[in-house]
Amino acid sequence: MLAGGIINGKASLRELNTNRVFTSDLTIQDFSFHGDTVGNISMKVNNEKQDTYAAEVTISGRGNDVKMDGYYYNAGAQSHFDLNAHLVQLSLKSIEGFTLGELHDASGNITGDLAIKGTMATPEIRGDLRFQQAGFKLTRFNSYYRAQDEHIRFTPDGIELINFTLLDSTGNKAVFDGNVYTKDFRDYRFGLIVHAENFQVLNSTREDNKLYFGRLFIDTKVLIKGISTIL
Amino acid sequence: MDGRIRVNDKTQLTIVIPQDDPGIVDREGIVQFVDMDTFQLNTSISVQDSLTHTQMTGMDVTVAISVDKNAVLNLIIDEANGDFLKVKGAANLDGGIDPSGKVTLTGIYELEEGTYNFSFNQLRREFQIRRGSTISWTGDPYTADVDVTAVYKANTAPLESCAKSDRRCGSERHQYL
Repeated sequence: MLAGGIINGKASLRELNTNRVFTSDLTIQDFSFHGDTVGNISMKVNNEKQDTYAAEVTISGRGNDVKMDGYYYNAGAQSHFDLNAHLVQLSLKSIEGFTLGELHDASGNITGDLAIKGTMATPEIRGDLRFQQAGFKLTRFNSYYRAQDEHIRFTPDGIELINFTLLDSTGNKAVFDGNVYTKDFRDYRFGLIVHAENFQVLNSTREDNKLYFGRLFIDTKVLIKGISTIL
Repeated sequence: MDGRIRVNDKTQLTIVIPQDDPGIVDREGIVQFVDMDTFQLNTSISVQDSLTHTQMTGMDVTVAISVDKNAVLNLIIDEANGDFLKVKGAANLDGGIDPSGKVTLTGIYELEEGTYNFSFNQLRREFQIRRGSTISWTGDPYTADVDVTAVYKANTAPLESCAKSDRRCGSERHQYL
């Protein structure tokens, strides 16, 4: 099942002939995506002020405590939003489904605050996200990685990583330092240095990947640069 | 040069050459009934074009890849037949991804030891690869020039061989497929 859960709540529409004002107060109990239960989602949205949608969204349960509130201003081409996301705790396990199977055995949390402004075409995201006691397996490589207390920063240039350190299952490090430049979160330009010592990249069998599998340990110091577009 | 990658000694990596394309460009000539100490395996392996391109474009990566001589590489040439190379050796290669997404690999992999498991008409044989054999790349990572000398040892009565050469009747008897 792609998504699951029980929706409860009420939505009311008023002044249908004039301003079409609505208020809604919805909850989705045990919302799940690709089999992983995210938690309970509550959404309160209204447009009591014309062309202004006020939203308050919370995610709770399953180790999650996330709150997002703000406004979306509907103004044709100038439509923009002004939102604040407050992640007291977002459980990695609960959002594993959003990786569409690329990650599994996830644990730990993401915390942080983000301010999201701008338009859909050029969102401006600012703030820090911190990975705490995070662990996950890359499905293709079947290798387990941990990020004990690492953060990424959303800047006007994109996403900045300052010595973001992944540990493999025996504690060997791969350190990512630099920027993933993006203005629209669709096209990315890389300027990242990856530094690793005896780091385990692969720990897989034929079941994980038919084209290449086994154990692969590398030392590396490499600068990743260039532009990438999600096709 | 943008960086270096060193493949370490604990590595045991298997690469499967996909079978959509004939695994070996020219099977003829791989098996030769020859009257010499060893036979040369001179062939090339190539794979569909799509695998030589990444899904992302715009990347620009060049790396120097070195392989520790104790790292083990299994290269499955023909999965259906069970043909594979298992090798150890030192390599210094240059790998790259250009902005169009094209993946390149150049350099020489010098084999220290290894085996070549080969099947032909129901026959399965494990050949020992001689030191000094090489696998070399000149650009396309899936088109490798394999220059491997392999020996198969058999316990058979080498009467004919003995008749031709006393040298082969020593403690180690070779039979060549």
